[in-house]
Amino acid sequence: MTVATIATDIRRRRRVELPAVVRKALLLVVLIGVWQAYVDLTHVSHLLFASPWQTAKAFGRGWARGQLGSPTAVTLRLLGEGVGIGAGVALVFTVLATLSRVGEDLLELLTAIFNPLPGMAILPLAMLWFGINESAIIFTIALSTIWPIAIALSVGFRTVSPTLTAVGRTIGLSRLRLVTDVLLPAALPSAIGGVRAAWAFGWRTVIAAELVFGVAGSRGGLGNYINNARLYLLTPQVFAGLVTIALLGIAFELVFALLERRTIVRWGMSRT
Amino acid sequence: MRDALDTAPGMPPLLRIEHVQLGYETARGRHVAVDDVDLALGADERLTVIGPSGCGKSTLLRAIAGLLAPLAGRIAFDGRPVTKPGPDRAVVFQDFDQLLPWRSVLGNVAYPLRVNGLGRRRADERARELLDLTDLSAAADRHPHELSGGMKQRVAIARALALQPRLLLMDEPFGALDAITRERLQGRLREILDETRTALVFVTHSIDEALLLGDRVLVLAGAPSRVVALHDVGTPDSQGEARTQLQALLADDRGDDRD
Repeated sequence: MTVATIATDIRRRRRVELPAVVRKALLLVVLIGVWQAYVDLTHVSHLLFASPWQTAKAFGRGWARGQLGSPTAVTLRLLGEGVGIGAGVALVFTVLATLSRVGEDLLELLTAIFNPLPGMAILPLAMLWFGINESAIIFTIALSTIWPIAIALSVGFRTVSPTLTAVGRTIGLSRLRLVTDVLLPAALPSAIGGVRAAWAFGWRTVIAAELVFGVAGSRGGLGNYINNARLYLLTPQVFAGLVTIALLGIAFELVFALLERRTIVRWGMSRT
Repeated sequence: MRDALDTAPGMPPLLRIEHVQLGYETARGRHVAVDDVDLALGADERLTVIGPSGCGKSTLLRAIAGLLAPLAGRIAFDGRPVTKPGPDRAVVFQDFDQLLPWRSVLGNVAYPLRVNGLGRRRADERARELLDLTDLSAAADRHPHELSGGMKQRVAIARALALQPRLLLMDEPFGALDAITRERLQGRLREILDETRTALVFVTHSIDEALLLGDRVLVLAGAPSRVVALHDVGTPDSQGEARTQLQALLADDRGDDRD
């Protein structure tokens, strides 16, 4: 094959190839079609399985009337507070571990003990300590997010180039400023990865905790919304709640991707 | 060849190294890399350190920087013992990754100045002067990953000089560059040092570079390595002879390695 024919070959192939977003959107349409076909063809009970159309209607109505908006806000707030506390504690732990041997040993020990523990396993204990309220949920989320963030951060700190650390010391940085001004930004790729993983853990924990709780405090979250809908056999609403959770998950991914593009990709620190 | 402790007459030494032994504590005990180095350096003197790979040239430089404490002996800078790193002994390393990736070129040069108490505006002004001096003004707003290796090294040099150090420590800063870039930067470095009158300790494994940049050449060799020669570079006329002598010294050492 000559160079010219290879070039035209590549060009022709490229013309056929669609952008990833379009390809995935098409696949999604196909999947929804299969879903609709399944409901139409099997005549599955509407009490057990909602069709895409019913789900979309319940979703639209739920958001229009605020029945979905308020639980979403509650869940996001719980999640934000839990992950925020978890990230803060993880940061303090990891910085202490970097500054002292005792801190390092303590962090390794605590991580070994708590990281394998599913966050939800702590919930009964949290309910005993805090009562059946939001604090118990936030505590559980925080406890399930500290460890993935701490692990990611300490890996990030440990893999900072020794040259960069030496540079920091020779320009006269104190140990604390070395951590805040050199180690932390240098560990940003790992840190973002850790927070990303922690969000995922937190999501699972908050929805599961709300399902177990029923109403937490005065207002319920998305897990509570789904559980209530199930109680009244409002299956389309159950589906609408699940779709909301899935969409929020996608939204978070987009936010993290944007954050990475603005920071580590722009600075040439991205490892991918 | 002059005595090791001798500097230019009438000038107190800026750096004094007395019977210094350097090395690391390992699991199998103490590993001595460099032994019994004795040296004094005047306030505007340039010393190049040369020796075979792994002879502890960089170790010596790290000790002067205060990044490594001697196992024995004493290092004094400006009359005071060296206990930790400081901006009066700025270091330029060999690695291209010595810049902060998240700061612009300007930010990389200005940041150490702000750390050492300069206001943002003064720091930026001074950083721009240094970028001018190192021909980097056009790249001020770029990030390190957008620069060539030679440009990165120039930023590192600008950053080190911005701190107005009394002594500039350089660890094979041009080692990973192509020959043309290296030659250009060597020339520029000489001009800059003439302008700023900064003392220099420059580690290299190139005899030509050692003779070009140094007033004196310190030759390290052996295991653990010791000072096998401290060579006055002298006038360009006598450099041919110096080169031959250095080549002989370094060749001897390679012979020892094989035994």
